[in-house]
Amino acid sequence: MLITLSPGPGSIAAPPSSIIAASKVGYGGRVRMGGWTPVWIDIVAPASGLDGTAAVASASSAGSPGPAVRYSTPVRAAPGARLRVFIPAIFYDARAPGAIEIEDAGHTLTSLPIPRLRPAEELIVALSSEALGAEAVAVRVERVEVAYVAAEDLPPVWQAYEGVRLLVVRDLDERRLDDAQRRAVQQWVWAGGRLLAMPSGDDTRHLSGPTLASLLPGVTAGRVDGTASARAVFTLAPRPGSERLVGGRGLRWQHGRGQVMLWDRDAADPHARGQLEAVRAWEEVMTPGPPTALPDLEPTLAPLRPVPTRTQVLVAVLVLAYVLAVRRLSRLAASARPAAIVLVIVSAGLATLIAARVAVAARHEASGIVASIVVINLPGTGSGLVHMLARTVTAQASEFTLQAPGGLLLRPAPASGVVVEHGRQTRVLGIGGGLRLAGSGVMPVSITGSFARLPAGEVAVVANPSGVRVEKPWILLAGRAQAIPEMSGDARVPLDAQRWQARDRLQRTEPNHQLLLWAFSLLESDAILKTTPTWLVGWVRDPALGLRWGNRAESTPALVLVPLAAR
Amino acid sequence: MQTIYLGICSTFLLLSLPPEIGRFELREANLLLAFLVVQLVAVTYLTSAFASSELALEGEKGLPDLALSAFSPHAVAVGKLASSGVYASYLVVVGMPIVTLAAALRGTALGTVAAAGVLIIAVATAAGTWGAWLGGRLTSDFTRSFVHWAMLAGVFVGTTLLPPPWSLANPLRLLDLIVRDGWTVSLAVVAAGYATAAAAGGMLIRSYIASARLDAVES
Repeated sequence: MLITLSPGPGSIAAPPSSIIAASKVGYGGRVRMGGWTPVWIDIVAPASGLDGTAAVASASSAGSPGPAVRYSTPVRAAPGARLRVFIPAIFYDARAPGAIEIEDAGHTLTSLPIPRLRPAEELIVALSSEALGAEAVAVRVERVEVAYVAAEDLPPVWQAYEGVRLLVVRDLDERRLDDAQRRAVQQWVWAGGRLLAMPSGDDTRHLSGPTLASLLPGVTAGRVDGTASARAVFTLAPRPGSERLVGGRGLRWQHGRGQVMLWDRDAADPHARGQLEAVRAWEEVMTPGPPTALPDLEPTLAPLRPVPTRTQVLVAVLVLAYVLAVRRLSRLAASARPAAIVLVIVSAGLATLIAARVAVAARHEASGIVASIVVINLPGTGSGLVHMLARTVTAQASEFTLQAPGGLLLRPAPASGVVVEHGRQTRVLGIGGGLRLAGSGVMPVSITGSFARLPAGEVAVVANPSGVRVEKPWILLAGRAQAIPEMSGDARVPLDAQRWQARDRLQRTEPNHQLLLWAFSLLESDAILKTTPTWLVGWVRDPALGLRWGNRAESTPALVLVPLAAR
Repeated sequence: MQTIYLGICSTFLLLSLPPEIGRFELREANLLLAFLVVQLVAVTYLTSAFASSELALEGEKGLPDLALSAFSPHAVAVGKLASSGVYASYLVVVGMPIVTLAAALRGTALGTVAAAGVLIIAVATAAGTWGAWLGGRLTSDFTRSFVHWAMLAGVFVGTTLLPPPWSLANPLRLLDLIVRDGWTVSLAVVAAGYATAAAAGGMLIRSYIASARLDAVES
């Protein structure tokens, strides 16, 4: 049985109502302002049932008078049924964070204000029924707070771990987690999260459970007898690629962009608490790893959205035809015959109606998004980390709906007057242009590859079982880039020693040269990525990454970065 | 001349077509405002210039000719008032498709276009009526043109010097208000004010015709 050791005053969002039985915001009430935050709402459906939405109306940042951002999710329940709803939300004002709202068929059934939040820059989130003794070290050395949470309160989307520096798993009842929560833990680690697992006394079952087994750098191989520790110490069998922790307490390895550490003993040992060895062990795991945040994509966004020339030509031709028609009709009108004047007025009226239709069509074609999308293949995971920035381009008063794959959370900026719906798909509803949407997600990516220096020359071998077409691909190696032929499946590409180009002297390329340079720069500067010297970089139009603007599919290509393992 | 007017409006529209949508994101209503300002100035100038005989329009007779006609002073005044109003309305109506295109491209409510049209007709009718009176009152072409331009400068620039709320008499400022807020009470008041000014111009025309005929009888 897991218990919440220090739930914090803000963990209960609001006094229960007849519909909202309970709610939890953040980790023990602690929230990273401006970061994705888990919000759990326990709902009791009214007697008439429920077919609507649960929403978090997050107030704009303090001092900003703009309307709230609504983060919502669809809710359906039979009369009197109880259900638990998760909503990822971003809070901007700790003092007056906003409200939780339940709507049914467009009518607000209840709205409860969220009490003041406890802002925290970074957190250590722990699943443990006993205190771990890390609090003092966390505050003294790293100025982070420790939040103990129950397993069922872990978020089902990995982005909601934003602000979590370390997830410590000591107790884990797998029955209290669902697949989405397990997948979120894994994806968070792949995306750069840091996880520490340890036995719970003599119990190591959770270390071999479905949540942790594939993530850990080793497995427990038996108890070590005769130790001074009051609690069991286990022998750890390392997996290839893992290394010993400096303090000798266990193993660590890089998994995706994240790090996973496994201790050989239970940290919740009251006798070991405060001992120098224990303090140093905590200091080691709390030390942040290489920065995993990716650089801003704003400089790579196209300055304008290309509009079909035919639209412009059509408008120009219509306007010219109208001017010439008016010229002829005005001569008729000059005769001052009533019929001629009526004809001119009717013609102008008809032309006005046609103009309004043409304008709507032209606006529709000119509206949409400009976006930069990057997918970084995470070796060994079968997945890629998606990093996206989009900007809406639309007329000032036009409403829009942008739809993205469900695994992609979209963070709006400026954070005001936007509705972000999470369900099978992520939908953003807003008005006007200029809205930035920063997206992040983890998506399946099946392209892998290797690189070899053979006597006959260098060769890149690409495995592309999905057959997705990789357009305008490049091989990047030690600051040099070489264009290679497009590929729609597996390929073996011999590289020409004469065709390497300095990557910062490339001719302008389509579809987004700035994003290509951004990627080349990233691959040579990112502490984790640059450990792989050779990369395949190319454009794909994968429907799984597809964005929809209203009913229209946007064809923004994504830049895929695939590490080529040395052979 | 109306072809030139439509040509100016069309050129302005084509310059602000879709490539600009992405560049400026259309967050600003300035382009529509600029478009409406061009239309206001063009319609007002053309209406008053034809009425004052600064520009020649086939069939349009000046007040000196009408003073010698059989029409009563009242009929001439009403006729001039009506011709200015009809011509201003005609220019606004034939420009409506282009203005509608410019506004709808930006997602602006078409009520804004209609409100702007009402203001433009009111201002141009008043300027036309006063221009007609100037056409009769001033016989020298140079003096007439000078006073005509001074009158237009007074309407478009001079009224900006007025203190609030009288500064709303400036039609450019009012257009800005219309583009931002749509139809307002201020617009109705100012449009009524310009309609009153047009009626006053009609009174001056009537008085001019009457005095011109008296002078002719006396001489």
